[in-house]
Amino acid sequence: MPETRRGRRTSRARAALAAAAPAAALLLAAAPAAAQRKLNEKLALRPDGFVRIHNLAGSVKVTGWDRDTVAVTGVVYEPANGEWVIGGSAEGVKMSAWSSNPGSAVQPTQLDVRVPRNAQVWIKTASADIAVSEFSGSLDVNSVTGRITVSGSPREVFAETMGGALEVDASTRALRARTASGDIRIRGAIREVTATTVSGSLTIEGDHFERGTFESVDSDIHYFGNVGRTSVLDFQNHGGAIEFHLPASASAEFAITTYAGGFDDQFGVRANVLAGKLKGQEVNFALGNGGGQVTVLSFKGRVTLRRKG
Amino acid sequence: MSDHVSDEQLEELAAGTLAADARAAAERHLSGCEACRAQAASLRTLLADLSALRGPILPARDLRPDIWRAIDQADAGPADSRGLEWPRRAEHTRFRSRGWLAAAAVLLVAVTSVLTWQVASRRGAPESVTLPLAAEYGAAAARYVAATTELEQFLDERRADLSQETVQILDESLRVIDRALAEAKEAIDADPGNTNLSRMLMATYEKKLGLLRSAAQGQAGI
Repeated sequence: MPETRRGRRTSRARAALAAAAPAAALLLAAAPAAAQRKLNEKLALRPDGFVRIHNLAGSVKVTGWDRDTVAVTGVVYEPANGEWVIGGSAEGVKMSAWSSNPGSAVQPTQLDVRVPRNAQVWIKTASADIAVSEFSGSLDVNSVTGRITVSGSPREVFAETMGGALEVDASTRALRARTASGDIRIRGAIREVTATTVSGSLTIEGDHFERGTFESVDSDIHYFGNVGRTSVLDFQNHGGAIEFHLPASASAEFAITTYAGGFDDQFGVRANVLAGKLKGQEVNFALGNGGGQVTVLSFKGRVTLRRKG
Repeated sequence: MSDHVSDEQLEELAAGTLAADARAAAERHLSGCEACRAQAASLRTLLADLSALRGPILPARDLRPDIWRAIDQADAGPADSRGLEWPRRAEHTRFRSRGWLAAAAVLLVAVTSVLTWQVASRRGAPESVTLPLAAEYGAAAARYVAATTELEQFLDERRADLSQETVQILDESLRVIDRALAEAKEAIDADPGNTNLSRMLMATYEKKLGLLRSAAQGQAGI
């Protein structure tokens, strides 16, 4: 019966999962010391091919160039049971310095990778830092505690690190940035951006964000710059402050809602405080001639408009 | 039987990532093997369920994309990677399969939560969330509670496999989020029907879900 086969397979898979972790731990414990190996590898890749990089610890530096080649240099510590993998075709290249137990102590592997500028790059690390530059393709980077830095003009960026800092200084059509405790800093010209953190600070600089969502739970959000005439920006925070550092010439419409926070401004705005049955405070106003739209939702963090210049 | 299509190949077939020649061979086998055909169909159903989860939990006006995108794409990379052939196939498959199974395990519990909630709704059962939320948010809150609870259980069971740093960050972040949730719930209790408070609560649940998903991905090595 098909159901029987499916059930057997599911059971096998679950049993394999349950058995894998302790077995892997035993293997690693028994493994000899890692061997160092210098890398100098080149693989052909089409201009928009796929590149997948896994590295547990150390660093990953990715730089775009105008060649249809992936070039890898660096130093890898390869365990005796063979965890370093590199290979692929003109369609895609994969390299992996990983362990079956990401929580285990490993020697740092340094990867310096050149990729075709318009490739599609996917990077995953545990504690290894990630730096991407001079790159115009799509980028998906993910780390547990590594620092992530992205510059250049990637087509789109998905970047996530739980504990590391995340810094993007780029021109891109879409950015999604997320951390748990890591600080986020965003600069550049980005058509659509979503940045979310739990307790890391969130700093946004520039006035070239068409649509933006900036969120935190318990840390401060700082926005430096003007608000574009057609920008639609949304800020949410629970416990942290939200501060706007705006030029005197700022021109935008604001809708600010706080529950137990409060609102300060250095512009002397003529705020329309919405009365209502609901607790909290809703304040709507326009700076200059209006234009861009800014929506703020805060539970108990203070919202402040600071005037620069 | 040994001449059946392997689990790994069936997974890749369902995901559309099986190389062309292997795919042709697998499809030939499936045409004459009811058991493998059924297994392939169930895997495709699973993927369809996962795709359905891409929709937002929040009400339409708060549309947020890709709650599960990262897990959905866990093995596909930033875009479609079908047809790729890796020279060290065994190594790649071992890695890939482990990641897939772990991700599927995470997702299965989430799918179960969502489906359970949907069945309950069709039966007209009352919401399990007892907060006096604005009506449009009640269903979303129930889904968040179910999904985050099961992901927390998933991670609790695998805590020993997580790095110490991951555990510290996760625990501290969950403390921050749970404190915020408690404050928002207390405020809602005192101010029933406050739509803004409901939105704040949902936004915080969203962050908790994102955090747990990230940790689960990290645990799965994907």
